Amino acid sequence: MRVMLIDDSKTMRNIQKSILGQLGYTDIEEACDGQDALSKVGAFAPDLILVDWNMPNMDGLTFVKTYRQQDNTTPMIMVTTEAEKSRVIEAIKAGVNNYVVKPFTPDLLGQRIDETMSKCATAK
Amino acid sequence: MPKDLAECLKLQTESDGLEGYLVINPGYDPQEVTAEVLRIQIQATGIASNWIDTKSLVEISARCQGDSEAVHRALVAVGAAPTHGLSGSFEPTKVIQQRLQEISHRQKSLEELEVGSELDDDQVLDFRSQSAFIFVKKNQEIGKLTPPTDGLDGQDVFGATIAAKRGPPSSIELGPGVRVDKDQIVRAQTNGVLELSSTEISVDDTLFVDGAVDFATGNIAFTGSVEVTREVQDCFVVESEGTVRIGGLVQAATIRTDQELILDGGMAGREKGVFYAGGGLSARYLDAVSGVVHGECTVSNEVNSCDLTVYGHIRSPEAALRGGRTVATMGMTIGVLGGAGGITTDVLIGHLAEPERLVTRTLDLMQEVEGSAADARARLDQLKDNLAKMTASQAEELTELEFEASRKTDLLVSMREKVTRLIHSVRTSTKHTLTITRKACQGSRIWFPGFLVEVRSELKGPVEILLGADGQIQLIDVNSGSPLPTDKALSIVEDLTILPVPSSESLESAA
Repeated sequence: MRVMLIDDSKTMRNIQKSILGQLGYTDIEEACDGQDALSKVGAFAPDLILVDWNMPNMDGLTFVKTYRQQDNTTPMIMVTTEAEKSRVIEAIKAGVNNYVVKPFTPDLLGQRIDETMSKCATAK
Repeated sequence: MPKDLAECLKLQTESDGLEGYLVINPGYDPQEVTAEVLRIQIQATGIASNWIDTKSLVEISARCQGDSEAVHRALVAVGAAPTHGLSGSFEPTKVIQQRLQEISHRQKSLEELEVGSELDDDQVLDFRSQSAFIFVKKNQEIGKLTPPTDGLDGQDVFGATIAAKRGPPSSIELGPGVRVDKDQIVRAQTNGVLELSSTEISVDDTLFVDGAVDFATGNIAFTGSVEVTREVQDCFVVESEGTVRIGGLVQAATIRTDQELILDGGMAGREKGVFYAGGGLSARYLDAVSGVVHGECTVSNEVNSCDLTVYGHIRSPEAALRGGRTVATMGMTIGVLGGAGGITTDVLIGHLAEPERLVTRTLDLMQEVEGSAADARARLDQLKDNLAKMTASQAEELTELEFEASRKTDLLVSMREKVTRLIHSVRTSTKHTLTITRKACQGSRIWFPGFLVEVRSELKGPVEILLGADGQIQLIDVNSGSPLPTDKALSIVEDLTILPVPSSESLESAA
């Protein structure tokens, strides 16, 4: 499964990459902001996207809206410090499938990924 | 009145009809004698025209014309002799030929040395390092067989065929261990030693040395088994991937085998002799040698001042073990342990150096990882407690700490599994019993995991000294099976030369 990680923090991307590696996902592309992600997502064609909210150049929410406007249905999980209910609803309306609040444990991220992929498979 | 020429002519054949001689007796008319007339006369006798030598006819007719009173004789026809076939042959490859030359040269050099003369260093090195044997590998080309040829028939002067003889077959026979392929190439069927004589080629997967391993043989490094009827001299090396059996005394030499080692004449190494047996060892006696045995060790007479490591059981109920240091990973049965005159005899029972070291190191590392994981958890808890609202970077730091703590916990689980397996392996690969059938002498020292046992006064056998299930040293009377008091004969102190391997339960509770 191909996974795209979008986060301006290299540390966060490394942590997520390591967790994904333990889950068996090793085909990973990284982007440091929404703009960078848009330039790479077409060629990489991921099966799952993990996206941070607060990033320079283009934030995560703008990326999600832009990406969905292009009729892309790839599952997306927002991984962010934004924990307020209104923010969660805003992200889901924009098109994310699931939400993880930082700080998170490796187990929690793993669970969210499994849930998301499972739901999306059922929906198809 | 001259006679008819035909009456004066006589044809003689020699060499089985290959040569035809014309004899002309006097009485003919010399005018009649011409080369052409003589040709016709000769052909009338049946001589094939293609074999007639015209020059010879011209010459003899000139002689007849010059002197008609003499008898004239000339060789006037020669047939074709048969070419008999060539015999079959065997030609070794260039590599084999070179080895044969080297061995021959070596043998001559040895013989040319005067008896009793000292060899210089170069000569010693030369004779030791050059083997007197030819070792071949499976499918290696040894040489080529050439079959005999039919030959070419000949003809006598009358044109009759003289049959050629076919060449005889090669005198060399193919013995065991070799085969011939479709191109008449002789190949080895197995790894082994090549025996090549004028009558036989064979390859044997066992090297049999009828004599000693010395300057005549050189060092031996062989893929198969080696059997030597006599001794192995100082500083020579015998290496084998099979079994090694030495009939005579092994001196300060080096013997290495991947399988069993049998020393019928024992080994007296003078502190330089070394052996390594990938399987078991059976020896008459061992004196001042160092050795490693991976299987069971049986010595019939004695072991003196040796440095031995035996990964199997030492089973020598009639032998004496005196001096030196002996490791018996699976325990030992010995007749007499130690000796008089202040010789220290050290024995380590149930010792597996490398795995024990790994267990110790792993347990130490686990403690370090546990400490580090605890530190990460403590920091994490502190941050969580103290933060009402986190900034993005604090959230990241927390995530990082969560990740680190989780990773270290996983690592501990993995290490615990592995060290448990290692401990189980050490337990099943070691035995902690020393059986003494006759006596143990004062001064003998025996290490068990966690203990050092010294023999204070002579201990009569048959007894067993063992590490019991309760983790304590016991002394057992073999005949009755009853425990004996240890305080008089033995001094028992705690000692970590052989690490006491922790139980699985203590490992779990420590975690």
